[in-house]
Amino acid sequence: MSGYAIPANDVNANAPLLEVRNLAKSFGKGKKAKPVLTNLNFTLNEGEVLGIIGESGCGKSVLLNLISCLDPVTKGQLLFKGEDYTGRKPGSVCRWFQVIFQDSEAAFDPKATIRASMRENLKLLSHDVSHADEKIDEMVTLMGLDVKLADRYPRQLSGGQVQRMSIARGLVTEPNMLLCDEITSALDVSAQAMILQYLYELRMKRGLTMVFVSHDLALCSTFCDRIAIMQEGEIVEIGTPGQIMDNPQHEYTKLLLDAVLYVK
Amino acid sequence: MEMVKQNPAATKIKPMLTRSQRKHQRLKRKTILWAIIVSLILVFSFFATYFTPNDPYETNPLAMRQGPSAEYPFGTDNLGRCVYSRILEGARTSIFATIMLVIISFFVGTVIGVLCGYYGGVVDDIVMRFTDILLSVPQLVLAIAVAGILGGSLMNTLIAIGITSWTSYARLARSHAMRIRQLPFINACRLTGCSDFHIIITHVVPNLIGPMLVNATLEIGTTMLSIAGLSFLGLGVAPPTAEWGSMVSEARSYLQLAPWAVFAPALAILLTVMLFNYFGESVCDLANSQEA
Amino acid sequence: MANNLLEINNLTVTYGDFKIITEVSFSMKPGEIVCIAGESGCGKSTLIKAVLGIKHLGAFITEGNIILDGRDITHLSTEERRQILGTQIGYVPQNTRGSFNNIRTYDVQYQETMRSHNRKFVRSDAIDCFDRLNFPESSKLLSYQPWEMSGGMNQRMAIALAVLQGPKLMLCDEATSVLDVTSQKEVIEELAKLRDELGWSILFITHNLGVASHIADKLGVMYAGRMVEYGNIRSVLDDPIHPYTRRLLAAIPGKDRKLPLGLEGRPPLDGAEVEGCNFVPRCQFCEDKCSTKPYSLDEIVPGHFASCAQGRVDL
Repeated sequence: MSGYAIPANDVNANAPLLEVRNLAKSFGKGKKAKPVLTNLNFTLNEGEVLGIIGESGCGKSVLLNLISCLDPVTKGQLLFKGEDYTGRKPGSVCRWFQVIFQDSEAAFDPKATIRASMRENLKLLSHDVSHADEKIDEMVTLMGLDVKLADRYPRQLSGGQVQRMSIARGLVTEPNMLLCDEITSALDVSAQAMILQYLYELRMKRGLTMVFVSHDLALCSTFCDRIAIMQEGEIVEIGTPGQIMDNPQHEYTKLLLDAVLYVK
Repeated sequence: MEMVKQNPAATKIKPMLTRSQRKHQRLKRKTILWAIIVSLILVFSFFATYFTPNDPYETNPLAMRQGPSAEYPFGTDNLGRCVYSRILEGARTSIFATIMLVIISFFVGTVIGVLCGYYGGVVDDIVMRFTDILLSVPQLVLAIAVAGILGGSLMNTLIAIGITSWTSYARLARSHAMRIRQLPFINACRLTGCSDFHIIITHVVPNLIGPMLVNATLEIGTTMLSIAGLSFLGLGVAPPTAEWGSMVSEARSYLQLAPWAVFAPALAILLTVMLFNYFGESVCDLANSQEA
Repeated sequence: MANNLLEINNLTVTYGDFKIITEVSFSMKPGEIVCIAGESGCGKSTLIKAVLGIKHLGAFITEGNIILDGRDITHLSTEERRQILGTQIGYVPQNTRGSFNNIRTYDVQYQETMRSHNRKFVRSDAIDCFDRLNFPESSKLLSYQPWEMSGGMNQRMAIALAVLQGPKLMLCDEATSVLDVTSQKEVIEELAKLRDELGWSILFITHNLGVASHIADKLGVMYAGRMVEYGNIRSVLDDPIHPYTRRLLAAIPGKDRKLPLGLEGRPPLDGAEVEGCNFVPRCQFCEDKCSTKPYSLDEIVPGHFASCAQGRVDL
């Protein structure tokens, strides 16, 4: 299995993989403009997993869209390995980021088999198409699925399986970073735990960097290196799971922590 | 707490959703049957002109307004022309003109609708306001006006009806494209650097072509009626060309003397429109059962 | 047991030729909160719908019965059923956005609901009720429209409406799963409070064992159309017997921040019709007898039932 080699023409090897500077986003123009994100700052190092926690409407999904260039940035800068890529087209950053969506079934074209969708991804990135099937099989196996399942249509698989397929699709193009948008919240607990296990294995084997957006603090604390708490478009607290869970500083973090219902 | 112990009845494992699958099978068979009938009509209408018992344009002063007989199965009209032969000759004009018109407006409407829906913005606004204007005038009145200006010929009739008929396809395609554009898999494609053209061709169009085709099959009957209607009003094909609508129109002045000359083409219109509508309906049902 | 509020005996529900749930039995005493947990598709929602009436959904109760307060309600007519719904059975659905009309005020919708149950709607009663439930701005709430409210507040308004009708039994179908964690906690606490004050019985369907552990007295675990474990909440959570319950618990992220343990595969679609244990294909402890022994829920420890053929296996 091939690893994720760092490209030779690296701008700055010491710079963090991703840096977000004073990022702001508002929808609408002029006086009607509605701010969604205000002044976000954080960095993410190679191999790190950052959890972003917030309730619905806090702007956590918008943040992922900005990082992956799906939405234009209103203010601020995005840097990848020290290189400013703000305002680029999504196609030009696709070697760096792949987004995994919450609604995994809708993330595949319903009229194409999963393998066809994956092949298309590979073809567009002008990888060696002759080995496409091997690559796809490798990634599907890596996510613990039978390679035969890739020849099915998305609706023929269970929710957990499609989600693992969509992670596999993200991986075939060998991105530096996975951006996971609530990827387990539509799944049952056991399917969710399976996904976490495979993502954890991926980290161990390949040192994959991830941004893991979720509303589940307990879930993130098992898996992330750092957790950022978002409230109404701002990051109010950021720290290791230990710091966040055992010694929360911000009122909102305390509130969230208090609302987590552990199995007693 | 009371627990009732009971051995489960040894039930055979049956496949799930047998009922809806059976229904789906039934609808599929029905649609295939209708498709065969409709394609037979299409083939027949194309070759019908070679099977005419008499020359459809030959006038016969000795056989004016004759009732149905062995020589003239549907009788003759005011000029002694064979009504049966003229219906067969007119089938090509009526049915083929309809199919061509539906195909062209389907194509034009879908392309415009998909582009508007996918890109949105100013162009979308302009095009959609334009369709609003077209739709604010009754379609037939607009067609009459246009056909009146252009003069009577089959081509002009098609243009007159085609001016408004693409709008329904455009609206439908636009709303589907707008919905599909927002689905995550389109974003996933953009993330792999797909061009917009590629996304539209390989992802947007295949996902909206189904409902569009259903709409098109349902429109065939309406379009055929519009063409026949314009011809009936004297704005369609120029005489002496055989066309069902104009045949009804010509013969209606001597309805009491030769009712067959009116009823035969009218019945032909009725039957064909009905068959196409049944076909459209069955395609629609099939598509709905597939979605469910 | 005459003092049971709700008894479900040996219930089997079929849809078409297909069994959705088989041989589910349990009972609830007044003032008890029973949680039914399980993964999606295990039949837990069907259970609630069976109590509410499922004929219009095309499903039928083919075996067993449901007894509410000594009265058999298994095969009531639509009219008879309407009389018990609302007044004796309250229902809080998962998606309250869809159950209130978004553009009419709560006032109108409360009135309408009360009238359809032949009750008088007194505005001050409603406001008293809001106060008792600690709703903010209780006097103004009725004039709002659902779209002006958050999902959590909407859910609480639905609960308040159920409270006004004074049922004995509340059915909550995933009532908190679409809510944010903070509102989820508020709603859970409210329900627990109502039980304490009004002596309600609540049948709570959830996939979240964390929620269950906070309010339930009894816990039932369903898997592929069958109840695989049932008992007192502490007994089931602290000392789970069925392997599925164990795996379910292991899959929940806990306080120790250890990576949760997943479970490969998916529940069988025909799980309710399989002879023997339907968890066999995913079970790590299964033996030959597991797939032959007919399904039954046996009392392993007093008050704690499980359907595992091996009784209790030590991990």
